[in-house]
Amino acid sequence: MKPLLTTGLLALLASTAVEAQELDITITNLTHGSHFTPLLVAAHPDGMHLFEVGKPASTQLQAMAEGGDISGLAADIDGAGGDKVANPAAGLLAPGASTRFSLTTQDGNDRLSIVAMVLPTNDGFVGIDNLAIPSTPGNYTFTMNAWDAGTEANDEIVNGGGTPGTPGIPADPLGKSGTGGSGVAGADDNGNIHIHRGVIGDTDPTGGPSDLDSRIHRWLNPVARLTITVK
Amino acid sequence: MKTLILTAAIVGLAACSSNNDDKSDDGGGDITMSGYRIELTNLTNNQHLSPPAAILHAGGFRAWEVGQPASEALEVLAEGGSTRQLVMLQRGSPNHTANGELLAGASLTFEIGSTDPDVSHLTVATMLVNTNDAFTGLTNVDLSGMQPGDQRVFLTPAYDAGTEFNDELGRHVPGPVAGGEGFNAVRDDVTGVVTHHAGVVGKEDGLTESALSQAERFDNPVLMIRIERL
Repeated sequence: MKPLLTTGLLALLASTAVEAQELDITITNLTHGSHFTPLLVAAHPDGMHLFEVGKPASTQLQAMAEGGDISGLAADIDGAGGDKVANPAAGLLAPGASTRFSLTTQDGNDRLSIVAMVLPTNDGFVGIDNLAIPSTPGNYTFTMNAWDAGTEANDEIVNGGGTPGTPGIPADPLGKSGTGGSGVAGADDNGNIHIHRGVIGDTDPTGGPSDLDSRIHRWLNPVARLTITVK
Repeated sequence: MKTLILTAAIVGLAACSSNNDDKSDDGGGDITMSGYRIELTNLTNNQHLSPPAAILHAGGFRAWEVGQPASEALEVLAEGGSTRQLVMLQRGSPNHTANGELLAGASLTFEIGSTDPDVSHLTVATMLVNTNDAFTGLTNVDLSGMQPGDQRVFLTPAYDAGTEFNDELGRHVPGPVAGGEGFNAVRDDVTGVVTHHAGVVGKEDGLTESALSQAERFDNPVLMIRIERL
């Protein structure tokens, strides 16, 4: 009896698991003045995460959120047997711009996770965690919010600092940041991954609290649109 | 499928939009059409919406697209509030423009319809008037799958036309709070394409030269659009 029972259970599991899929994916940066650093887009088994809201960031997530480095998270995906597309936009994704690409998933990799740093921020990132990939053919649209990794003070000082543990913002790709900011904020009160509270900015190009511009570098959620075409 | 004999006003709109072979099922010379009742609700605190326009059109017309530069017609709407040029882009399509602004907190309802089964896509557009170039709405939404009695609700974000820098200066913001200039053909925004809007900063939040206050700030969504197939 027991072998039969086991076989029946396996058959049941197989019938509910998502099989290998060919997905067409489009990601659009909806912000008005922020770039996304290279995206990491991954299909993986349920229960694997690049980040989890309300929990501390991994060192790999921190490297992505503070400096745009996705190599550690990409290795995590490989280690979990996941399928990934790294850097589909071949660099920065500008405000309003879209990137379109295909992702082929293996059996059992039925969850989708996406991350990229929002630049210029100290440790802000756009992302979605463990999204169940639809199995019925069609077009599916989702939106993504901006998260704070909780690992770096949101001082809004543009000083080239992108290495984990180094304060400051690496750069403003728009070229609209200032200098001489005194620093907006100290360490986060919430050291876990949380909704980003946004940028303060100011309009003083050589002083004030922030090197960012309040008229240019702010955003409202959602900050990205995700379209998945299941064939 | 249920057919409708619409009011004279809407038949009038449809009659000038198309000549087609749709047959009325009562043989009396009336027009058979797909009709929709549309309710708009302004969700903001103090962003009045310029008289909203709705266009029912064939699929494929996009009044805007994130990542693409605004058409001049969209720029005219987003900077000054007039939908007249935008409606003219779909000349001959059934359309409706409200008589006045949709005030913060207010709702308005109208009906729109077409006798042409291909004219099944909806565009709604309106400006957030106490901004430089913010607008909201829907474009190219396919309604053909709706059955009589069906309802759909959309909550729409604020878009930025990408045509005017968001300086919030009184001379550049046309709404009642500032009373400044509307449309200006100069394009001086940092991005130059349609995106989501970053929101109002306001004078209380450090932008001391802003003509706008905390009251004009908003978050997404800014407009609720309820569509009922008649």
